Amino acid sequence: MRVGQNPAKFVKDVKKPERITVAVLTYVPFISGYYAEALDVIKLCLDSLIANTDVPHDLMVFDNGSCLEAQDYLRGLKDNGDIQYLLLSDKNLGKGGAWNILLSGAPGEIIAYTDSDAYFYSGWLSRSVQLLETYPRVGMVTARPFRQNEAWNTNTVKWAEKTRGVKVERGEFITWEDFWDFVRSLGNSEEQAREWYETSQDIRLTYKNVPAIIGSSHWQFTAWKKTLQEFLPFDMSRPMGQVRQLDERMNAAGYLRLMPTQMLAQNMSNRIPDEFRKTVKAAKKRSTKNGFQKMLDTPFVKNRLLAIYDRIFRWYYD
Amino acid sequence: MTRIGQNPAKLGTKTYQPLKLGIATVTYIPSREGYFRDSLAILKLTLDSLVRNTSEPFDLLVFDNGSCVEIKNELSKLQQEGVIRWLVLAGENLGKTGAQNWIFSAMPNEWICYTDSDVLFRKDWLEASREIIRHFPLVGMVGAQPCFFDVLKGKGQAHLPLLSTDGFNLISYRPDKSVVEEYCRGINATPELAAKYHAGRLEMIQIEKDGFQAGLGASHMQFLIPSELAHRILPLPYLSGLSQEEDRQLDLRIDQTGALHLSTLKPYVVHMGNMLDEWVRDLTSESSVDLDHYDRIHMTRPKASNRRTYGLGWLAKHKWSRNWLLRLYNKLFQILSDQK
Repeated sequence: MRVGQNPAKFVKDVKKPERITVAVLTYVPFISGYYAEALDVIKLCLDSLIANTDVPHDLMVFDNGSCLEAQDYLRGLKDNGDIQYLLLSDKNLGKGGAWNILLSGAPGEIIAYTDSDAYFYSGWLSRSVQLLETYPRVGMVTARPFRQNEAWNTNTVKWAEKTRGVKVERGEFITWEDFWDFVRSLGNSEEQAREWYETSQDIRLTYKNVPAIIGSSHWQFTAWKKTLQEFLPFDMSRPMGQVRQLDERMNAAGYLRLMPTQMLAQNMSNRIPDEFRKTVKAAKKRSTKNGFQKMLDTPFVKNRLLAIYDRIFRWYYD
Repeated sequence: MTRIGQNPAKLGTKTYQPLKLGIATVTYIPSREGYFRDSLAILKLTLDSLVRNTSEPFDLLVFDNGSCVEIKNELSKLQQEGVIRWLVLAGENLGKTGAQNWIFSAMPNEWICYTDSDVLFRKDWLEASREIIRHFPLVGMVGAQPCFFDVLKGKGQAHLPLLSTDGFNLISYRPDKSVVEEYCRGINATPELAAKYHAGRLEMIQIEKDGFQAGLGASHMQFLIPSELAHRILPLPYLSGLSQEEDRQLDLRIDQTGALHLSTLKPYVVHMGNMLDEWVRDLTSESSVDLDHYDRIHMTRPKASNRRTYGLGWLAKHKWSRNWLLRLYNKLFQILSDQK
C-alpha cells in the first residue's frame, strides 16, 4: 500500500528541454570487420559534438541494439552528464524505424540529427540554425557544402530564381580539397571524383546577407521538428536505404535544402581519419559535476545523508 | 577516411518490426531509502506481472526519469535480458507528464498501454480491456479497474452523445465491497475516505442489445489508448514532478476529442503503492509472481533502512519539529535526487 507522500509531488519545477535537440543514431553490433573501428568513430563523433556545439541543446542518443561494449560507453557518457537522453533498444529497428522513435520523441522545437560517423567543427550548429531561421520554409540544413543529385534540389532552385532579394550565383564555390574530402569518404576513386567535380557546379544563394549553398542530405541535417513530423513515419522494413526518401520528399514538398558555405562537418565513415587518430587516444572523460556535487557523491557523505533521510521517513510513517 | 567495405546492414537484413501493443511505464526512484525503500521490488513486481499476465507479445518501454545508479543498472540489466525493449534514460526528472509527452509521441505501436510503475497486472487484463474497445465506438482511454476518482469532476462530455443514442443506457451502481476495499488499501485511504468510497456509487454504460457493461471513466494510473489519439493531444503542459492538474489535462484533452473514458467493472489491475507489505504479498501470490525473488531484493536494501529510530520518533509528532523535519526531509530529497 501507499505509505507517506511521494516526494516527487513536491517537485514543483521540473527540467524543461532545450529548444534544440541534437539527435544521434548509433549501431555497432560487434567490434570487428566493417565495425572494427566503429566504436572509436562514435567516440570521436560524440566528443566533437560535446566540444564544438556552440548553442544550448540537449544531446539525445538512440542506440539501435549495439553490443554491450558500445552500450556501456554510452551509459558512461550519460552518467557523466554529457548525454541528456539515452535510448537503448534491444533490437535493430533499422534507420527508418529508429528515426520514427528518435525524431518523434526528441523534445526540441529544432532537431539537429546526425549519423554517428560525422565529425563536427566549432560553429556547426549556430550556422545551421542561422540558415534555418533566416530563409523561409527551410526543410533541411546540412552543416557542410558538397555536391549531390540536382534532382533533390529543384524546388530550392525554383524558389531562389523567383524570389526578390535572393542573389543566385552558379560556379565553383566548393574547393576541390573540400569536395574530395567528402566524396572520398564515400569510397569514390579520385578519378571519378575529378570527373564529377569538373562536370558539375555549385549554386550559391545570398538572402538577407546570409550565404548558403543549395543542397543537403539525410546523413546530417538540422530541421524544424514540425516539418519533420510531416514525413514520419518512415518505412521500416529494411535496415538502411529507406531514408534517402527524406531528401526526395522534402524537395517534392517544396521545402528548401541548404548548406553553409564553410565546411563545419565531415563524414568519417567506418574508419578513423588519420588526422584524428591522436585525438581519439587523447580523449579523456570529462565530468560536468561541480565540487559540491562531487563531494555529495562520495559514499561517506551520501550514505550519511541517505540514513538521515530514511530515518525522518520512518519517524513519520512507521 | 575512405569507407572500407560495405555496411552489412545494407545487405537486405530484415529489421525488427514493432508489435501492435506497446506498454510503457515511467520510473523515478532517486534513492533506496524512505518513501522509495521498496520501490525497486514493487517495480519488478509490476514488470513481472505484466510479462506473466499479458496474453499477447508486446514491446515494453521504460522511461527512467533520473533514478539513482542502482536502479539504472537494474533497468539496463533487464534491457540486456530482452525484458525491456526500449529503455530511455533521462538525465533529469521531466516529471510524469514530461515523460508521457515523450512516450506518446515516440512509441511506434498501434496501441499504447501506459502504467504507473506500482501497478500489479492480473490475468485477462488485456482481454477485458479489448472487449470494451470491441463493444464501444470512439474509445479513448480504457482502464482495467473501476474508476473511483473522476479527475474531470463530472464535467466529462464525450459520453453524452452516446446516451442520446438508442441502445446505450447509463446505470448507477454500487461496486462490490471487496473491490472498494482493495482500492482503499492501495491508496491507504483514511477511514473517512474509505467510508466515502463505500457509500458512493459509480456509473456504467450498458449496451442494450447484448447487455455488455463498462464503467464510465478511466484512471490515469493505467490505461490503454490508441496511439493515433495520443498523438493528437500532445504536447501536454507540464511543470511538476507529479500533479493531479497535469493528469487532468490528459483526461480533458481526450474528452474534448469526443473519445470515451471507460473501464472494466472488475479490477484487473491493482495499485500496490510503495510498500511491499503483507497485503501486496497476498496480491502477488494470486497473480503467479515469484515472491521469493522479491524477498531477496527486499533483504538486500541498504543497511540504513534497518536502523532503529533511537527513540526520536516523537520529533515527527511534535508540531514544531514536525514541520522543520519535513522541510529537511524534502531538502535532502532534492539534494540526493540531483546526485544521479
